Amino acid sequence: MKLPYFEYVRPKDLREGLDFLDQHGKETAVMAGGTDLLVQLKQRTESPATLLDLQEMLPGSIRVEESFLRIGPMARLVDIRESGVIQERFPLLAQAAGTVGAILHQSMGTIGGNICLDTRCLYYNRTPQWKRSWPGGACLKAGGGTCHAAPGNKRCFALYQGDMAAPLIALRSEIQITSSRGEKVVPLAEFFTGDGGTPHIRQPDEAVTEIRVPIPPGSQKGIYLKLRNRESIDFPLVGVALVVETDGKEGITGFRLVISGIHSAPVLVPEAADFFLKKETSALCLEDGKKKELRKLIEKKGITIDNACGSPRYRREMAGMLTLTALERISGRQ
Amino acid sequence: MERSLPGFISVAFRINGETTRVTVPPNTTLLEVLRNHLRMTGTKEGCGTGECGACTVLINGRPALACLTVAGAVEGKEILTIEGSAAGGKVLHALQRAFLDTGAVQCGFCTPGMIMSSLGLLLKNPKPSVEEIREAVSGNTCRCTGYHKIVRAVKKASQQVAEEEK
Repeated sequence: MKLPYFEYVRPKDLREGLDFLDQHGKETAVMAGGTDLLVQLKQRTESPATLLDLQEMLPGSIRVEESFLRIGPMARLVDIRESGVIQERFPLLAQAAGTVGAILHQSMGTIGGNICLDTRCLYYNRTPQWKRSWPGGACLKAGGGTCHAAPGNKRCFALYQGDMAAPLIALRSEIQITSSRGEKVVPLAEFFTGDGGTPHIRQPDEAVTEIRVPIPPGSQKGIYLKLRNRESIDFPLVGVALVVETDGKEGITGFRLVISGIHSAPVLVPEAADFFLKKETSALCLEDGKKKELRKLIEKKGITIDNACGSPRYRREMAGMLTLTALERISGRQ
Repeated sequence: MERSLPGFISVAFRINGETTRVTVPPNTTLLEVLRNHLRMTGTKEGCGTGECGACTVLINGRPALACLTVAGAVEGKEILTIEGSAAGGKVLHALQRAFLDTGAVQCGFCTPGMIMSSLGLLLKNPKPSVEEIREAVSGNTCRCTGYHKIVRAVKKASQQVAEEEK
């Protein structure tokens, strides 16, 4: 498949890149690893005038500084997976990075690119020929007038299927966004809009310049479980990230559950914490009644419609099932 | 990277140990550079969307998908393709010998990608376990061999390399 024509630019540093984005951001696509963007370009879901290669513009360093793990957005997923400091302090991130695509994608793809992944839909990620053949023409996200997955709706329901955002949000991460106007740091959970059409708050003249993960004061355990069609590759149909923080005196002091793949943004389930907070770690082993209650709570959280592989009901139920499995694994029962 | 003719970019990189420069439209992929401009057709195009791994090459020693790499991105990089994996272009690499010996090749279309992914693994981890081999080639699709012989070949090659180094 042939790429559409674009100009290629590779800024040598951040200043040069931000100046370029300031002037040409609206007609520019920014490329980190390119493993998803180039597929989209080939499918003509995007046709930018310019492709801006971030490889020299942004850092890919991984370091601990001032009570944060600081990750440069160009850190390759394989670097996250193999980093000694991440394996030691945040094994959840190393584990999650190992679930993205195959080794080939991990050695090309970056953490920044994975966070900024565009939302996906069975009716959007298609070739122009397929779209033309579909009755009703282009969908909302492709610039048409209606959503084919949920006819009559004026909102895009494309799914956010990145792997790294869920565990990073569960770890209370922040993201630094920089433009020639200045820089800001926002909680990663607020980086996502929840609208499938424009899934992130990043403006065309901005670049993600750092991901910060706070070092927890106490003990922390985390797990990321992913449901996908092919174990070796594929985006998550459901991705469940769970982080449990404990304190010898007070028991469970933190419980964060974030689910990817069931909405246009990663879904934080704060109500799930009510089942466990201030209780002994043995409370992670739920009795059957509570399990059912938790599953119902999770099933209500997502907006699963028929726009991905697997029926909406299957994906909804699997979000609950994976959460229960995550709980069992984290409590050491499985 | 130099600007050359309007609508073209000039990219310099090292391919299989030799410095080269190509002048191509900016929307050219590395795969197109290899196959159409350098006439190195060992690297294959399968899906063109990064799902089959037939176009795997090593960029700075790491396995990468040539179909999802734009030409400009390899400026200044070291690229190794299947043509460069045999020493001097004549003596087969231990991996290539092992693929032949164990019958890990049938139609041969996936083989260059399989070998480059395996080579990426062996460069990083000379004594991989079967699990590690399976994971290393998990992004490469083979529709003939059923993978067992491929995994066996990589294991055999790693043992041969270890013996040769003794």
